[in-house]
Amino acid sequence: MIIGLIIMIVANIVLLSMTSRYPSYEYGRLSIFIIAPFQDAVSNAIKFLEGIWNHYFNLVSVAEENKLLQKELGRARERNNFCAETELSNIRLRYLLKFKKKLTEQVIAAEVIGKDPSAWFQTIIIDKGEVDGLIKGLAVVVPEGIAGQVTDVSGHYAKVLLIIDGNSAVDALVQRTRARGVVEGSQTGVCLLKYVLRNDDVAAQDIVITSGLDGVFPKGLRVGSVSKVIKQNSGIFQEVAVKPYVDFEKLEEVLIILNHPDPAGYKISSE
Amino acid sequence: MVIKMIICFYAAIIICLVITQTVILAALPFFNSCYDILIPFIIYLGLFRSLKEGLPLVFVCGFLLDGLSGAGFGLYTTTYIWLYICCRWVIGFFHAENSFILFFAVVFGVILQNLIFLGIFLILEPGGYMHSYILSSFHVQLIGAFITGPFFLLFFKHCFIIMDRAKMA
Repeated sequence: MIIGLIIMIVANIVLLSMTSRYPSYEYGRLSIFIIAPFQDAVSNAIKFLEGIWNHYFNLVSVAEENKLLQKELGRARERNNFCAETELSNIRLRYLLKFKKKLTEQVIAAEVIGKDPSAWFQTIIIDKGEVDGLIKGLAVVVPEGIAGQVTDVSGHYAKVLLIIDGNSAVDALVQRTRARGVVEGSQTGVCLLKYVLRNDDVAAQDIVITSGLDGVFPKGLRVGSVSKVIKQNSGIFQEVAVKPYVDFEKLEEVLIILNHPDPAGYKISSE
Repeated sequence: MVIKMIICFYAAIIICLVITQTVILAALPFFNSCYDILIPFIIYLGLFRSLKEGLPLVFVCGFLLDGLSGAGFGLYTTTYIWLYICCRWVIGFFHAENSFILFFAVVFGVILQNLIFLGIFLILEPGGYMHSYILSSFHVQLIGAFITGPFFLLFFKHCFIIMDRAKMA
C-alpha cells in the first residue's frame, strides 16, 4: 500500500509539473462556458447594487468630489491644449523624418466578471469571447498601462492572464535608457524585470514600457515604474522590481487590442 | 426524475460555491484572501457520502476550478482528490461526527491545499521568492477556515438531509 501511495504521489508531481511548465489552457474552455454566464449575471447584480449605493446613498461625498473634479477638469483642459500643440508639432516632425505612424489598433471594451479562485494565481474572466473577435494571445490593456493577455476563449467569455501572475512574461524596455528585459509576474503585485544586463543604467522611478518584441503587446505601452534595483555580487544580469501602473485589485473594465499577435514574435512593418 | 433532481441539486451547489468564490468574495474588500470554500464541500463528501457519490463530484469541482484558474491544469483536481483520500482514510479510524474532526477538518484542508500550491510553486521556481502576501493570506485563510469551516460542514449536512428526504419521498 505504501509503495502504491509513493507511486501515486510521484506520478502526481510529474503530471502537475508538466502541466504547470507547459500550460495548456484549452481545457478551461468548458469550465468558462459553464460558469461564466452565471458569473456574468451575479457580477451584473453586484454592480447594480453598487450603483444604487453610489447613486443614492453617497450623494454627499459626490457633491464635494464634483467640486474637486471641476477644478481638475479645468487643469486637464489646460494640459490638453498643451498636449494638442505638442501633438501637432510631433506630427510635423514625424512628417519631416518620413516616419509612418503604425498605431492602428482596434480595441474592444470588456467587463471583468470573475477573478481567479486562488490568491496564488492571477487571472480574470471577461465578458467578451470568440463571437466578439477575441482569440488566444491578444493583449489586454487599460488606460493606465498593460493588464495581461487572453489565454483562453469560449463563445462569449475569455480568460485573461494578468501580468502579475507568475506565468506571465512581457518583453520590455526601460524608457529612459532603452535597457531591455522581460517583465515577469509575482504574487505580491510587484513584477520583476529580469535579464537586464548588469551594466545597463536603471534607476528607481524609471518608466518601463513594452518593447513590442514579444508579438503580443504593441511597442510603447506603459508597464510600470521601477521601484527597486537588485544587483547581486556576481552574475551578468541585474533584477529590477517594477510596480505596475494598473491597480489589479480595482480592475473592472479592460480593453482588448484586436490586432492579431504575430506568431513569429516580431511586428513587421507594413512597408 | 429522481436522478435529474439529484444532478440539479449537485449542479446548483457547485455553481453557487464557484460563483461565491470567484465573484462575490472577490468583490468584497475583506474577503479577497478567503480560503477556497469548495474545501468544506469536498471534506463533507469525503466524511459523510459514499465513494460512488463523492468521487465524481470531486472531479467536477476540480475540473471547473482548474478551468477558471491560472494554475496549471490539474492542480485543483489534485488538491481535491488528495483531500478526499485523506478524509476517507480518517473515517477509517474516527467517527465522522467527531467534533474534533468537524472543527479541524477544514483547517487541515486549507493547509493541504496551500502546501500543494507551494510545492508546485517551488518546483516551477526553485529559487523563487516566498512573498509576504501569500503568508499573510495563508494566516487569514486559516483563521477563516477555523471560524467558518464547521458551519459550512453543518450547512452541507443540512442540505443533503433535505435532498435525501426528497429522494426517499
